[in-house]
Order: sequence, then structure tokens, then C-alpha cells
Amino acid sequence: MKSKIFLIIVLSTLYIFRLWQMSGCQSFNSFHLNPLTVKIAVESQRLIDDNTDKITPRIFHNKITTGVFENAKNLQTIFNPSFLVSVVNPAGLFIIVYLLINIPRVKSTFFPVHLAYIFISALFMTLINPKVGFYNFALALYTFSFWIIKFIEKRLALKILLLVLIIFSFWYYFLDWQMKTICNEIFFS
Amino acid sequence: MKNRSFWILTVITLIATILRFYQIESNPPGLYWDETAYGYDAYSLLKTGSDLHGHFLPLFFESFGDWKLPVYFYLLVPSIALFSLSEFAVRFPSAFFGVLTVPLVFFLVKKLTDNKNLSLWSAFFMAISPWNIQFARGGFESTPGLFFVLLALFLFLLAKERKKLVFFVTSFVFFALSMYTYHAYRVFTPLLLISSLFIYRKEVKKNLKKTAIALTVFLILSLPLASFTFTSEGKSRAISQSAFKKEDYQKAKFEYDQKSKKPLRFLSGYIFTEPVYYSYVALKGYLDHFSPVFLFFQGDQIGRHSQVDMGQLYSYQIIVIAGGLLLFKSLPGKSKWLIIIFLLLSPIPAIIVAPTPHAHRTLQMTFPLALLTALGAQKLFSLKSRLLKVAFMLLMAFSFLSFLHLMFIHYPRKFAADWQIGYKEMVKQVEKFQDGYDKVYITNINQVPYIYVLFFEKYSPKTFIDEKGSGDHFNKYYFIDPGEDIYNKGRILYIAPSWQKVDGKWLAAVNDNSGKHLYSLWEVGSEK
Repeated sequence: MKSKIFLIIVLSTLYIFRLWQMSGCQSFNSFHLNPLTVKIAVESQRLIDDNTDKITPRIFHNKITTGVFENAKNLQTIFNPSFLVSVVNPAGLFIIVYLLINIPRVKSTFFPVHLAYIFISALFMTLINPKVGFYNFALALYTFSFWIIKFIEKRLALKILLLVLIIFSFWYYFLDWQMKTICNEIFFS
Repeated sequence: MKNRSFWILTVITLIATILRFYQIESNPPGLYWDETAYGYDAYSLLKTGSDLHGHFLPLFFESFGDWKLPVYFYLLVPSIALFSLSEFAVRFPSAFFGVLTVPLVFFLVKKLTDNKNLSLWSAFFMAISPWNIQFARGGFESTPGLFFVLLALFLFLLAKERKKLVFFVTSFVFFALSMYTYHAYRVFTPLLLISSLFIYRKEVKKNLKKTAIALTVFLILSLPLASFTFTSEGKSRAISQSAFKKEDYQKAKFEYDQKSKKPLRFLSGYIFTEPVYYSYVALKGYLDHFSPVFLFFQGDQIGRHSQVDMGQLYSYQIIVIAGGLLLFKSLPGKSKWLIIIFLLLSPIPAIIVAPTPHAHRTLQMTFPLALLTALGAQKLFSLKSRLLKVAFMLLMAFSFLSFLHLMFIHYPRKFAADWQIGYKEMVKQVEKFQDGYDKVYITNINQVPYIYVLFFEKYSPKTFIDEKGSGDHFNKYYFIDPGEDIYNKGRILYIAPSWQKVDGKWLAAVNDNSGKHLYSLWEVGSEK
């Protein structure tokens, strides 16, 4: 019980600290996909197929397949580990990966709902205002990481590993003050 | 192994063979400089027993001053003896070991999991792996290196099972051999070996004497490599490619101090130290190799290392690998730890050098990723829903055909420059015109043209060594910067970059495979 409370306090401290750091961000990185990207990708690929027949380029380079590909690629930039570690810190990233691998062991109907919320938040980041989208996504990840409480009972190795990662994470937040993967411009008045 | 599995594996290996050998002499287009250097040094070994610097049967090859490891050179000797000095001969060992890796994956996964279906699926995904195919089709030393690592691992598992000294020793010999094949395995192999010994420590304890003998053999074989690593030649490559540069640290610290509030500036002297910054760079480099964009959508941005317009793997693999990760706990106890540790160790060789992510230095990731894909695919095809299976098969087929389209239509046109296209055509034109001239001056604007002249003219290595040829000059060939004076050399044949204006008689153009004008041949210094 004590270790659970300790973990909640420490994780909350880390996340609140990071949210405070983010308050200095004047311009959040945008994950919007410009629709022109799809058109440009289709046309540039078809140019290379200049001397082939007319059907082959249409099969492989069309707005449907290229659109799905480009949108999926754009969405995946949000799940880039370099970006995630900047948002949730190394301890948080480890926790999230650990929870994903142990999905079958979490007996709660709310868990898959929470997972779906993360995915939808990521999708929103590509559609709405970058600042709002980002904070929504960050909160989804932060709250998700607290599911680790269900796993730390009687797992000394996991507790020790988490403690080391948490200390590491404080250092990481100081080093990553500029948050280049999150923020284009950071300024504290 | 039952007949059905044998035939399925045979078909899979045949697919792997076609994908790795079909048109390898012309796709990738051109030979890039390292391939050419491998080829010519091996040709020199075949003809004289020495490399082109005159070192007899060297253990480390000076090449362009980057001191390459020896195994690929020696693998090339029989290949060149069989196929003559050619693009095919240079790429043959890489493609050959790329093909052999596929049945090896079957046997290794079967040894790890005792699951025949999973083994066949793993072999299949390795056979069609864009990542593995990309490097098997070029003269890359990482492909045989991966084969040796996987073979060593297989023999190690066999050794702990059969408890025979010969398996222990051959396993450790192949571990050592992989370290002499490619630089990445100098880091990866020892880590994998230590991890394997730890995971199977109970079995190792029961065979302590045999393991100790094998380990002694490994250490003896590794000694020359270890001592070479600490020489200035051994360090030169690592220093030139290092991700840990003092000037980068100083720039980052300056930027940090400029943009930080006062309390942090005070702390930065304690927090933002050089070792701390380098570990931050290493962490970022490590995580880059697990980026979904790198793995499934965009690949390594170096044109020789991927199709660039797609990931290192197929996009659909993101779903099956995710499924595989959820299922990997169902694998036998120690095997699952070995596979996950294999995956987690794989990016480490790439984090100490730049740039990242780097597909060549992390080719070993293809094995655990093929296995995880196979786990997910096996589960998917065991589900009852026929619609899901058909849909997935169609997705797989479309992705595979897209990859073939990119590889055979787009890649030779879009990434020809990455493979130094134009050199072969340039040498052919030089051969046509050079007889009337005592001196031939060739621009070195695209770097190391001398190795291409040596290679495509099949110049006698003995003559090159005897006349103490170099990258600046041998025989009547001179390799110069475009700005150098060519007008006071008498009557010469000059091969200039296409954009250079020359006061002379224009003779011929050299174009690449798309018709782009690369070089011009000029006669300079003739009487007007």
C-alpha cells in the first residue's frame, strides 16, 4: 500500500512538473496532415512511372491507397518513441509499454476504453488545435500510466526498476527543457 | 521434418532466392564505392595474395583509410574466381548468405519454440522482408554477418541440448567470425553472447568445462580484433562516424544556457555535462530504431538502405507485430527472454555512431521482428473468421506487389545517384578514347574515381602495387579536383563534370541510365 501511494505521488509530481514546463510553450508542434501532401505524393510517384503502362501507376499510386498510407504515417509520428519519452518521461514510457504487453492480464472493462481514448486523442491531435490536442493526449497518457498500480504489489524487481527510471526521468526533464519534439518555441516570461 | 514442411520451406527458400538474385547485377543500379573497393581488393587478393596497398593476406583492409573488416573480402575471392570481376560477383556472397538465412531462421525458431508452423511463418517473413532483401541485394557485409550470428546462436542451442564439445566450439567460432564480418557485430555479438550465457546459466553450469573451452577459443580468436580496436587505424572509423562530438555538445550547451531561465543556467554546469549529454544522444538514437515511422512507413533515409518510400518492413506488419508482442509470453520460458533481449540489444551498435536510425547497423532486428510477425500472423490465421483471413491475405499481397513495384521500377530511377551510377559508363568511354593520349585526367568530384577505373578496366593489381599507385595517380591516370589546372599538361584526355566549361575539343558525353548527363570527355592542349 505504501509503495502504491509513493508511486502515485512521484508520478503525479513528474507529470505536474512537465505540464508546468509545457506552459512555457508558445507554439506546439502540429500533427495536421495537409491534404495536398496526398496529391503531391500521388503525382510524384506517378511521374517516376512515366514509361510504364497506364494501369500499373493507377493501381499502386492513387488517392485512396496513398491517402491511407500518408494518414497512417502521420498518426504514427505521434507514437514515435522520441516524442512519447518527451511527453511521459522514460519511466512513463516503460510503464506504458509494460501495460500494453500485459493487456490480457488487466481484468477491467475500463482499461480497453482508456486505451481507445489514447488512440482517439492521438487522432484528435491531427485534426484540432495543436495546444488543445496535445494537452488532451498528454493527460490521456498520464492517467493511463497509473494502471501500473495494479502490477507493483509483491514485485520488488519492478519497484526497483521504476524507482531508478523515475530518478532518471527527473534528470531527463531537465536535459530536455527545450522539448524540441513537442514545442517549436518555448519562452518563460 | 515431415515432407510437407520440407516442401513449404523449399518453396519459401526459392522465393527468397528469386527476390535476392533477380537482376542484382543491375539493381541496385551502379556499384557504390565500398562495393567497388571490396571487389577490387578481393581481385587483388586472388591475383597477388595482397590487397591493393600491397599488404599480404591482411587481417584488416586499409581500403580508403577506413580499415574494413576482412571476412567479406575473403568471401569475395571464390566469387570473383567463379564469376570474374563484375557487379554480380561483388554482390553474390551477400545474396547467397541472405538466402541461406531463410532456412536458418526456420531451424533456429524451431529450436527456440518447437513450433513447426511458427518456424515456417518466420522463415516466410524473413524471405519477403524488405529490410533483409535490400541488404542482400547489395554488396553489404552485414548480411553474412547476420547469418553467422544466427548460425552461432543455433549451434549454441544445439550444444546445450546435445552437450557435445564440437557444437560449443563451432558456435563460439561463428560468434567470433561475425565480429570480423561487420563492425556492428563487434558490439552486438559480445552482448548477445553474455546474455545467452546468462539466460541458459543452468545448462552452462552443467557443461562448464565445455563452455570454458569454447569461450577460450572465442577470446583467442577475438584478441587480434580487440587489440586492433585500440590502434589509431582501428579507432579511425569509429571517430569519423561517432555520434559523440565535442562540438555538438558545446553547441547544445550554449543553446541550453541561452534559452534557460537563470536557476537552470546555474545548474547546467552540473546537469548538462558531456557524459550526460552523450547518454541523452544515445537514448534518442536507441529509441529512433523503434519508431513506427522508421519501421513501417519511411525507412532509413539513406537511399542505399531502404526503398525510402516505404518502411523497413511492410505497413501491415505494425498490426501483426503488435499482436505478436501480446502473444510472445506464450513462447517457451527462456526462449522468449532470448528473443526479447535479442530485439532490445539490436539497436545498440547504432547508438554510438551517426546518423540514426540506421538500417544497416541494425539489420539484426529483422530476426526478432520476423518472429513476432509470424506469431501475430499465425494467431490471425488460426481465427475462425474467413473474411478477416481473406482481407489480410489481400493486404499482404498488395503490400508485397507494391514493394516489388518500388524495388524494380522506382528504385533504379530514383536512387541511382546513391549507387554512384555513371562510373561504369565513364570508364567505358575512357577506354574508347584513351589510346590516343599519354595522360588521362579524371575529375574526382564524385569521390574515389580511381577505384572504378581499376575495377571496370580490370587493371592488373600487380602492376598497380608495383608502380605504387594511389587514389591520386597510377599509370597514365590522374585524379584531380575540378579547379585544378589542366592546360599546361600537354595534350591530354580530360573527363570533366558535365557543368564544367573547358577550353578544348569536346569528344563525348557520359550519361547515366536515365539519360542524365554526368561527365564530358574533352581533348585539351592540342594544337589549334
